[in-house]
Amino acid sequence: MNGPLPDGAIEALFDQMATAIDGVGEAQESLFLVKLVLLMAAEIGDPDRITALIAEARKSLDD
Amino acid sequence: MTSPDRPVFPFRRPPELDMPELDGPELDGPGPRHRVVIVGGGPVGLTVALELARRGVPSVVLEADATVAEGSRAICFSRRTLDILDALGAADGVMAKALPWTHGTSYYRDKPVFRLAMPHGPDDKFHPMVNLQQYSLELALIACVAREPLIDLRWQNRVSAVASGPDEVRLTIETPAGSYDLAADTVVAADGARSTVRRLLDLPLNGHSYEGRYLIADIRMQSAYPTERRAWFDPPSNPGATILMHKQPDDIWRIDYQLHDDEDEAAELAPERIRARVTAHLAFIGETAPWSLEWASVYKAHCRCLDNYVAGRVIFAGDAAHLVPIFGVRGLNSGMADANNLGWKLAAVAKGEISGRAAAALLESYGRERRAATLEIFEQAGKSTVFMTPPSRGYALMRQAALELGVRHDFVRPLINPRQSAPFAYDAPDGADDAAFRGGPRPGALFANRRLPDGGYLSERLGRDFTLLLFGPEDAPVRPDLTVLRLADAASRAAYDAGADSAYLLRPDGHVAARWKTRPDDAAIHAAIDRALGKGPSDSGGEQ
Repeated sequence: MNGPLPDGAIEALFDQMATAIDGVGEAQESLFLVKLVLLMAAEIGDPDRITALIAEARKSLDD
Repeated sequence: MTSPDRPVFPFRRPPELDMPELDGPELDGPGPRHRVVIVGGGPVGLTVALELARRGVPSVVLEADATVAEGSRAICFSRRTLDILDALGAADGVMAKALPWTHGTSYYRDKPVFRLAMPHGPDDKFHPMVNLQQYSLELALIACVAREPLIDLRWQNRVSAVASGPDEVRLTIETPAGSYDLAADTVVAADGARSTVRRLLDLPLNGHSYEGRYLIADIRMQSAYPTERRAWFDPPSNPGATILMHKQPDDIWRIDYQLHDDEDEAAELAPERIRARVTAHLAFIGETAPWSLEWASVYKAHCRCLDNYVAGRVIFAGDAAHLVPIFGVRGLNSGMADANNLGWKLAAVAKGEISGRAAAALLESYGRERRAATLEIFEQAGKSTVFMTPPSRGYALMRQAALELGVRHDFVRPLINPRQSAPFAYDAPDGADDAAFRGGPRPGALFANRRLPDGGYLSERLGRDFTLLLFGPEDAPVRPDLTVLRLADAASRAAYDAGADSAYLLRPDGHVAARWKTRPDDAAIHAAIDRALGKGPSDSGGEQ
């Protein structure tokens, strides 16, 4: 399912994230990602949706 | 390191040392039998004694030491604590020295991330928090106790044995003049975190302790900084850890810094080490005045409590019953609320106003209500403690993210809130509420204080026993244990969501016992008072 991202947005996000992760460096990587999670969660604003997304992200290849 | 003057109180030879045997018939006179013996002459024990004395019940207070607390110890007293002290005549003594405050700032490194602003309005008599050394609070309470002939405060009386039975509690007490025994109907154990009574009865404090250790150092230093709570996360003066700072009277400042896991407690308590760390912090915050070290101590955060605060005829209060984390300043403040909840209930039982099942139910309600309050503290202060000392990588990462974002973003700031002490709302008794209310304090919650048209406060007018708040000209039942107050102004009606014939019944501790949107008949008011006293429907009309 493509969801609400407009055409081309997923490609742009891909590049933005790769660049940002490289830019902050490995030592800051986790902190950067956690801050981004908090900022995005504040935009989503729906606790149940956020809980579901956390569960989804925790799934491994075999789940 | 010394504390300011701590007067040594004289030891008086207890009359029981020269008395007939324990099984004599005398009660409350010069003899070894007493209705209430309180073990522990700290703030909680003294407050229980004053609450009892206010209601005509004598007590013996046994204090093992010869003087007041060493060191400043508990230094932040909440508005609720001040209201409790005020009803006992001790608030003036406290406010003569205490430093009131409303605000604080939390920093991440050197950047502000949270501004604490505690509400303070014209209907509040006291500030949300005041700072004063615990020994000063104790001196104020001791001065009140000295004026109370019903309170027998015994210094250098140390309990060494407790035998608790179905009819009485027997204590063995050591003094400089020898040992003696007392028998009591009820013993109140208010003897602190290392309670002797609790240890002798082999009652465990269940719960958990946090790993983090904190060193508190009182320094004497002149500074123009106002009375505000300051907290630093990861400052250069304590990298990766926290520092708290509070102002106290007499130019004393408390600096509270977190020790790292690999630091040795004994080594860090060495004065040279403390001086080095305090010097680094004062340099960081720009304080340049000379200073001296007054006192230091190390503490840990615990969430532990007794399974039952009432163990037969022994009732536990304060740190003897529960240990809570320091964050949110709930330790002494919850102990004071314990004393305020227990005092009127124990007085009613001790005076024989209720007995049998009702008496047992009323005292059990103290344990149930105050333990529920303790569990809420565990939850609130536990969150603060986890934030102060993250227990795992996941929590450490989340905290760092919250602190960094907190510099610029509001939505994470609740995570940084110190969650300061607030009064607890007890469970409401069945049938005590009225669904017609859309606001106002519910049964179980604390009354709402009001500034009165004559400039006084509602808190000053509450009855020693029950209080009926009315909002119009309605009649009220007349009984010696009921004070009737009328609040006819529009703002008070709004605060209580009251109509002209609404009514609120308040317990002796100011918590709402019942409320009615429209005029209750006298029988309903009498029944609500009976219920608040532990009497069930079959108990009405007298003792069993």
